[in-house]
Amino acid sequence: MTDAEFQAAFALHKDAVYRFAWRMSGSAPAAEDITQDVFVGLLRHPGRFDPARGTLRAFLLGIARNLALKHWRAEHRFEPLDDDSVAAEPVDLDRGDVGDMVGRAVRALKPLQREVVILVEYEGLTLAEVAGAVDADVGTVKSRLHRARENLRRALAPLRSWQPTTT
Amino acid sequence: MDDQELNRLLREWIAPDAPSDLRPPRAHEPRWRWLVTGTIRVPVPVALAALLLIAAWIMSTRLGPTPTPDTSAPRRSGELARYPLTGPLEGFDAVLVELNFQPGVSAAEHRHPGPILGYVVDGQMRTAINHEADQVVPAGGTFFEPHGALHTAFSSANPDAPVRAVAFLVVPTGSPLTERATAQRESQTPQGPPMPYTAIHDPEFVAASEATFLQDDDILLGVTSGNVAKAYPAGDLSQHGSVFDQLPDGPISVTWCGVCNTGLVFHAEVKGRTLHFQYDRMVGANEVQKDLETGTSWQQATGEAIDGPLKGTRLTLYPVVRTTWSEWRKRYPHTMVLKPLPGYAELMPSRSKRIKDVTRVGPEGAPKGALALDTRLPARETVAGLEGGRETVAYPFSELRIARVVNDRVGGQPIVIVHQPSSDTTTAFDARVNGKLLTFQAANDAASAVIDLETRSTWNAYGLCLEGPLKGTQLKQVILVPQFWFAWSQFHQGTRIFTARQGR
Repeated sequence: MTDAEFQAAFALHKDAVYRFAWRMSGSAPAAEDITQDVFVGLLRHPGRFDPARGTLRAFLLGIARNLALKHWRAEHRFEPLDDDSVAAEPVDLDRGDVGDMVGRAVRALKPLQREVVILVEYEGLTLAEVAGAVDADVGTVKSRLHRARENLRRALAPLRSWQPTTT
Repeated sequence: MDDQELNRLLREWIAPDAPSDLRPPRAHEPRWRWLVTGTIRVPVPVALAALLLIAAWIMSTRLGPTPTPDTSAPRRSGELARYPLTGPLEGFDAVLVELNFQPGVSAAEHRHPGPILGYVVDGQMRTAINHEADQVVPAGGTFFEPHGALHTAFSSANPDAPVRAVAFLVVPTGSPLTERATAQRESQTPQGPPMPYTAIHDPEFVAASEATFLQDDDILLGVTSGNVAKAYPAGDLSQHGSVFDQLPDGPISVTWCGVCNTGLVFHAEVKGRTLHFQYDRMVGANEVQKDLETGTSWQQATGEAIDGPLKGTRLTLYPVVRTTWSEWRKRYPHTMVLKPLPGYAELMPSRSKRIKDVTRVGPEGAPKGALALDTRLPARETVAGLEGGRETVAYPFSELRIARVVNDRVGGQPIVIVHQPSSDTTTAFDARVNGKLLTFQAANDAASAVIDLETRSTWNAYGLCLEGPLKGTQLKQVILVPQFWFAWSQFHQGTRIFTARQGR
């Protein structure tokens, strides 16, 4: 990878990587660190990206995902990364606007559910791309996405009648 | 909720793009740059061995033929190196200074804000502390001055030759350079003694408008009694350990332990006897203070007498609010503020900043000397501790910032805790009014107001009802003890930890 190619990749994908890291970590400094580390990884080991296995964006999001999980693990050493239950608590309507409430609901998901929601719903990756990025098979991704959406339905139930304000 | 509706809601959560100043990592950094910017990890034994070898080499060259001192151009005193320390000594700098005294020149009486260990390189040093007899230290000899000692003599012992020494100090980060003070005193008139760690027993106060030494977000301890409101800035308290004061309802001791990030206020009276406290030693990485009247030693974090004539008794906590200057001033515009003594005021900005920083994000690991390590939380996460009956609970600030209002039951007593995240001000109250249990929730994001669900009355964060059927009612304050987790957990084993998911 030439320097120009690397610069182009950075310009093209830094926002997606940052947004993903921000949504996963809930912290701007952590998202910056993760974004930097993702591109340092690309710079040091460009050969690890194989165009035959997917897009560069999916590859970079895969690195970001590993770093975000590492981050999370450091802070939640004894919590499981996922569980089978659908037991999200409804969001608190008193705090913040609808965007904040949705954000809190997504961040309350277990990491393995959260990442598939973010990759599919916000970054527009296909299930196959997500499977590559999170190192799981498509069936597993599907079931995590299903559980995540069920949890979100429960968490966001208090917003059922909510309509966007049109201006 | 159908898929479409869920998707519509999900779209409401917008994430920011990468900040515009985020730069790509540098490509192809030349390898030679590593020689300038790189770091290496060295095992501690190897590093120690290397340091010992260097020290031995320096000593051996000193013991060789003595170089003729160049007396034509007298060397100046000055700082040779300064490094911020980490680990248990975080918040302090290690400083190496060179001291040069021409014959006939002596330093005025002075102190240092930390211990000093010196080595005489050339000549003979005359030194004395606390007006004790002079000592003469020859070249190759060492001298030691404990923290806070008064240095009463410091000069060349030889009327015809200069003396040169190097000294190693450990001083609070950003503290005025001890050697500079010494150097100034070689030629100038003495100034006031710098910063010994001693309690204040006759405090002076200034009005809020004169407290220009405080920043809005500086942390302080605030107490009220009748119409009196007083603020004791943490950046000042942390330089004294204890401040004795008289309030309309009696004497108090306002204490601070920087290692535990704990500020507590006690009634300074035991069995009808007023006590004045002074720092004594550390136990379990927490200050122990001795009272001057009976010589009893008191553990700051618990108020318990651990040895001496009053052993076994416990000081009574006095209600206090740990908050920021802007929050306190807004609430009590007429507040008085502890006036920092000369020499201490200069250190307040760095002290205050450090207290803010460690409260927001605790440094890693436990400090040296911590007794027990309960690993359920990071050792230096700040928690608000609460003791009720036989139960104790720790409310981590990180969780309180999310929950903001907590309805809980501690030792059977219903309590409500209100946390205002912008200033990390935590207050706690008995949640009953005339025997009726109230349940509270935040009335706004800042949690500066709360509402009870039973009467829909609005209260401020300090337990006073502002509006509604209970208007004018004041909830009974419950005393919280904010401190680092290691300190709370080592003195309250088996404590419960509140998590924001547990309830509001």
